[in-house]
Amino acid sequence: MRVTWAIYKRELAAHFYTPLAYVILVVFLLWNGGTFLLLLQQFAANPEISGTRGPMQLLFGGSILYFLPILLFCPALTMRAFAEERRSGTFESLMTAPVRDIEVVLGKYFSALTVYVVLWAPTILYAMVLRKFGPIDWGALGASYFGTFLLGAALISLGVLASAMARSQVTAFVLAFALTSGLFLAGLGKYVFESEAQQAFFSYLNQWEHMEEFAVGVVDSRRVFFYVSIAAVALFQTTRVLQLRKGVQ
Amino acid sequence: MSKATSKPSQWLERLAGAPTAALLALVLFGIINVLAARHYRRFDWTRAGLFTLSPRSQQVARSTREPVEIVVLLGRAEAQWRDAVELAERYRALTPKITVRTLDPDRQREAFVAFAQRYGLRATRSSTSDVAAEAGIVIVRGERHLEIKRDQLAALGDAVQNGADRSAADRIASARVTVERALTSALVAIARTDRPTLCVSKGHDEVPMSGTDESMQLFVQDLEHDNITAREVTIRGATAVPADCDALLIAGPRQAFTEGEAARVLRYARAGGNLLVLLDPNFVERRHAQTGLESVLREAGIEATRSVVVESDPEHLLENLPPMVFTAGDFGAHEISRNLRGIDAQVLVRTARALQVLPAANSQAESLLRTTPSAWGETGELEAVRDGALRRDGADITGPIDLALASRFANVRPRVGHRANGRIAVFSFSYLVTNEAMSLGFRARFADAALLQAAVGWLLERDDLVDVPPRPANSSALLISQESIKLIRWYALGLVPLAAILVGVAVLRARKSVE
Repeated sequence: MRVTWAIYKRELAAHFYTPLAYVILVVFLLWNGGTFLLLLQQFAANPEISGTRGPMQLLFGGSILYFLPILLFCPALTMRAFAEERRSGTFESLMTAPVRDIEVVLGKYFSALTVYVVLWAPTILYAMVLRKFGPIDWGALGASYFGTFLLGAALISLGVLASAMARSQVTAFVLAFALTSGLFLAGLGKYVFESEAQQAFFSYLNQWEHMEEFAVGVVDSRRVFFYVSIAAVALFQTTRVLQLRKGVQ
Repeated sequence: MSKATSKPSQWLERLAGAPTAALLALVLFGIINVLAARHYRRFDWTRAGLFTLSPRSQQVARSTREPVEIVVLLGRAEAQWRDAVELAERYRALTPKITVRTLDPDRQREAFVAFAQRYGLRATRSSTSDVAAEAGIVIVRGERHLEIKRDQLAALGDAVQNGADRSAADRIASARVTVERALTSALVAIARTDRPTLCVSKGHDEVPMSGTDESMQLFVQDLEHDNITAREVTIRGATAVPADCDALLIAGPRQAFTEGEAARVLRYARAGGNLLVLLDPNFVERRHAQTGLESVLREAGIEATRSVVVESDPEHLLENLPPMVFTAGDFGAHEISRNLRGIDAQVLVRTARALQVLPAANSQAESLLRTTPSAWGETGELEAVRDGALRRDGADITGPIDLALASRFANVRPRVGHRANGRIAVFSFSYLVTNEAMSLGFRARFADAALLQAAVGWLLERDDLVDVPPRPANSSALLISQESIKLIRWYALGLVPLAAILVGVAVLRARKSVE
């Protein structure tokens, strides 16, 4: 645990002591701010479109504009996790140090997850502003953030796995993007296939639908298991990859 | 000790080290998710409990014996799609007898058209599609099917109120989702083979069933939706109230019932018939007059006084309207009204008379709705009411005033095979049944329609109408002007990213100075 904590702190410092983290943060906030404004304008002009959903609910999973930055930024946050160690030549020393693979993996994973949380944290200010114009359903908003956290937790684990597999940061990014967007696109199969069994299967993978549920305040245990199990399997596979790499070396 | 513990861990290490470890992890992933998909729970985190089924709906779902399919025919882009699907899923989660299918007219057009043709659904256009069905949801049970129309899923407030346009946001804010009640009613109705009849009295200048704006057309439509037949009957000149009436509605008679007619009504009730009576204050030659039904009500322990209720609590008065038009929100603990307690619901009251419980009667009436203690029953003449210069005096009835009461007739001897049992619900104003009040029923604060429908449900022993209260559709509705958006733009695109830049610069400079 102490090792994990030490690696976590080191990784977090590495994230926040580089300008890249702030560039990502600003771009992310500009993107979400723009999306939020777009939805607000639509909402103000035609509130009937929203039904039971207010602008905050529409921000979370109401459009592809929510998923695009997540699909792009999660690989960006994780691409350097192991690939950078390899590039800088510290991978070997890390692997031969008296630490368990899982501790290294968890340290790097939680640091990336923390950055992801930091990216989303300022968006709570949108709700604070909206409070001036009407009531905010904090329960539903809490569910939205919980869903966003779970989604990020799963996608970041895939990113960490990709980083462990790849030799360079670019390859890690491309591989992570392929994995995360592949998972996202697989869920859209629900709208392609018509049989009940196929629909049920693809609906289970459909992140858009999951986030629509979270956004209106519904927390489904299936979604929690889905995202947590993805993260667990991906992190386990990451440790397997590291052990394989050790064997190769 | 170490040997004992090392054995399994060694075994695990060997297993994990095997090339199949990755595959095993994936298999485990699959098993966990299959189990999670079969045994799941859905938690409702919304403030208003928007997606929590009422105990009655849960009971109805769990008591489903035959397989029932809920088919949602709304497009994903439609405002009610999420509510309909979510609530349908909640019924499904309660019992394996219920299955849910969605047929999006836009994305699954062929399947949608085939389904619509099979069940003979009427076509319409929706806000998002040129092909849609009038039914938003269809419940299928064996060979039977039951349609839930789109307007039953949610109704918005009128676009115009008191001559002024209401903003769309305001209408949304005051909407109420009735999906749950529509679904529960449909699940009950499709399992029932009987269809109760509510007879509507005519011949005494009552509120008409249809025709004018002041008719009860919307109420009758709601009854049809709830699988209840409404038909007119004439008491005047008839020898008795028809025996096939499960309940008799007498709404706002302006001509008095004769003693003989009142006796027929009482005979009907004593034989197990149910009564829904809405009595307005009645004036003849400027003086309070009786409607002839007062003697019938007394038999149920209810006194309809010669008065007009006046409210003086400013919180319950409406702007530019006389104090005989007010809101009341003190709901009684009776089955009919208990679900409206504690949800900030109000009933809009227009010119009511005071009701009183007769203490020494054979039947004990229970309050459904009361005014505030500041109200009183004005017993003065018509002028006193009309000129607005109302003064409370010793002859008036002191508040709080009962505006609706429910009771049962004593000594009821039901006819053989008759399912009714001598229940009576009395409202002191007939406005409740009019189209305007029924429309109000869907607005955020007003529960006029919900109260009336619950009364009908209680009289006809249709618990689904009693126990499933409407709920606010949008607890997050916001009123945002273009001017406000400018302010938010500066905030979201200027201030927040700028703050992030400043934090970044500060952290990096601090780091540099340390180095």
